[in-house]
Amino acid sequence: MKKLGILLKGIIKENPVLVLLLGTCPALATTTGVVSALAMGIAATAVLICSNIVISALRKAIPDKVRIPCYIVVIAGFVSVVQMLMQAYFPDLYDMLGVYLALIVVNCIILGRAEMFARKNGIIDSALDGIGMGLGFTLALVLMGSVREIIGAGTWAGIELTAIKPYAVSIMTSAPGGFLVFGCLIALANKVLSGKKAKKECSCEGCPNSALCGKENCESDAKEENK
Amino acid sequence: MKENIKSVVVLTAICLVVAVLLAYTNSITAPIIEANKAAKASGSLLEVMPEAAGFENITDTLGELPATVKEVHAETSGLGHVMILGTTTQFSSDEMGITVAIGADGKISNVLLTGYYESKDFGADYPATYIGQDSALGGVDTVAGTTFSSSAFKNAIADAFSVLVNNNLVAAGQKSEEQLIAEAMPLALPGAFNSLGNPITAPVEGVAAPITQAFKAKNNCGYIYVVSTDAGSVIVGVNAFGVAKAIDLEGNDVTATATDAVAAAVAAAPALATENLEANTKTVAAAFEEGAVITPVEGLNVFSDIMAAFTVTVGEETMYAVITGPLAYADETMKMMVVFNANGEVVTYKTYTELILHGEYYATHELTDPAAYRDQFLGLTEATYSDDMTLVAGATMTANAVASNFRSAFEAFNLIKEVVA
Repeated sequence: MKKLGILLKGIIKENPVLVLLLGTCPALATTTGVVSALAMGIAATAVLICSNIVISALRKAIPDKVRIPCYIVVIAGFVSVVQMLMQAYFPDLYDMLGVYLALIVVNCIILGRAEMFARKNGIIDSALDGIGMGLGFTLALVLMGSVREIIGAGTWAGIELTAIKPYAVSIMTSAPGGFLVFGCLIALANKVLSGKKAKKECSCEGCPNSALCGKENCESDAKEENK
Repeated sequence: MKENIKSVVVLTAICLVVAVLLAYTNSITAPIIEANKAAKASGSLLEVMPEAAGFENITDTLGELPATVKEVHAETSGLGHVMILGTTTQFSSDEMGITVAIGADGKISNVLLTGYYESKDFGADYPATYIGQDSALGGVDTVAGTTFSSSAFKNAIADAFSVLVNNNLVAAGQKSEEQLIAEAMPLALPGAFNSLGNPITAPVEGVAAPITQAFKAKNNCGYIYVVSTDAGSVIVGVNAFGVAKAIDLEGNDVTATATDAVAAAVAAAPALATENLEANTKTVAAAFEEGAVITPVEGLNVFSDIMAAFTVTVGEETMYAVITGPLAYADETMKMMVVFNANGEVVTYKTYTELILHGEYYATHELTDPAAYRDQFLGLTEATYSDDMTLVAGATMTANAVASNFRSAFEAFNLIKEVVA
């Protein structure tokens, strides 16, 4: 049951895009269409699962001092692998995602889950967290992509919706439309989750400001906030 | 210390493992990626040569290529070649993309415009007029109203043919006499042609044998005559000073041998520098104080856009004034004057038309202070001048005209010194 909770929390309760507000850049940039949104979601999910598993497996071997560089090397390695595979087997999708595929390396969700979850939990739990968060990320992107493509272009995954096409509002496929849809979906997620606030996860370790911050442990603050 | 060593070892080990993983993935995907790229490239090539069995990129085997020729692909079964071309027209910094298929018979089998960023369209049917043409390009012309764009297109196609012909990959097409004359004319009087090689001339009526055609340069730098001789037509350029240069249809300078043709052209050509002497003298005099002695230079052997030249003596000092007529925006003549001192330094530079003609580039240029722009050339010599100094963002054609003016003026100055000496 606990494992199912880990898997499901990323989908709605702790959805990385709509609740944790992580990965906003690819969420806005690659959701002009459903196909690119889905491709980005799958690519990020693959990297998330693999990096979570490896970081969890190495959590006892990696010294605290160099854990962030280690995580970055692992994540960058998996992103490069995904990039090469996509360029070889899905060249059209690779062209469609452009620079945002490489930018998965700096996607906050990946590093965030490595830091918050994988380094503190076992391999299976970390893999489930990766799957859940990846699914949540993908679903949010597909939802945003669907809304933007349907309203903005009158199509869904390239399929023409003849009833909507004449009334397409092209601004939805541009940046302002992205922000508008993003804002609406966050509001919707807040409404759905009202009273079920996600547990705030926090860590001071490795934070460059921890000495200046003055707080002994921000996790304790988070606990208080979550009460 | 121990912890530091552990950190280094762990990080290094992770880097090594990741590197091995990447190397392995690369070894699997690299050939597929290369094949994808090749398929994509040949896809665009197949568009112009659909019957092709395959293509081999032979660009690197053809020596130095013109800037317009980007890639050359040979069809593997010998059907011909597909070439990817790119050219700019000064109206747009973005390249016009052209993909042209040239069959083994040396004729264009298909041509596609893959990128077009010009402000005016030269018509969807224009590229199709090149189908069936050989390297002579005898049946195509530029389009009035989009002369720069269509000339750039034509020149790029001509460059493509030149690469294949020079490498003996196709036979050269037979050019008509009319084409050969058109090609020889810029060699006889280059000052009468714009930067794309188009003649900016007006035909002269009522010519008599042996002259068959005559043209007057609109910028008054001279005349061009087509003279019929026993050895075929000879093109004679007569400059503003009445000096002639003869070119045969193969592009050779035959001034020394085609004496009859030269004599006929010189006899027919009014010496423009003399014809416009009064007006030009006034132009020069206006730039000097009263009392300056202005003497026209005669017999100057220069075929650029020079309209007139003078020696100017003010007291003990002798200076040299050169009046030029470079072609600028919309092929209009920009009258300019450069005055040199005895050391070849620019002491005066004047322009007699607006520097930016008729809102060139919709008046979005960055020439806010024309006087300061002109003054930057004062004191320069041929050694210290550079064409880069003429650049005006948003007004490339003005800049080109100013550069042309200075190149002609420095050339003229050197010749005047010889003539005077």
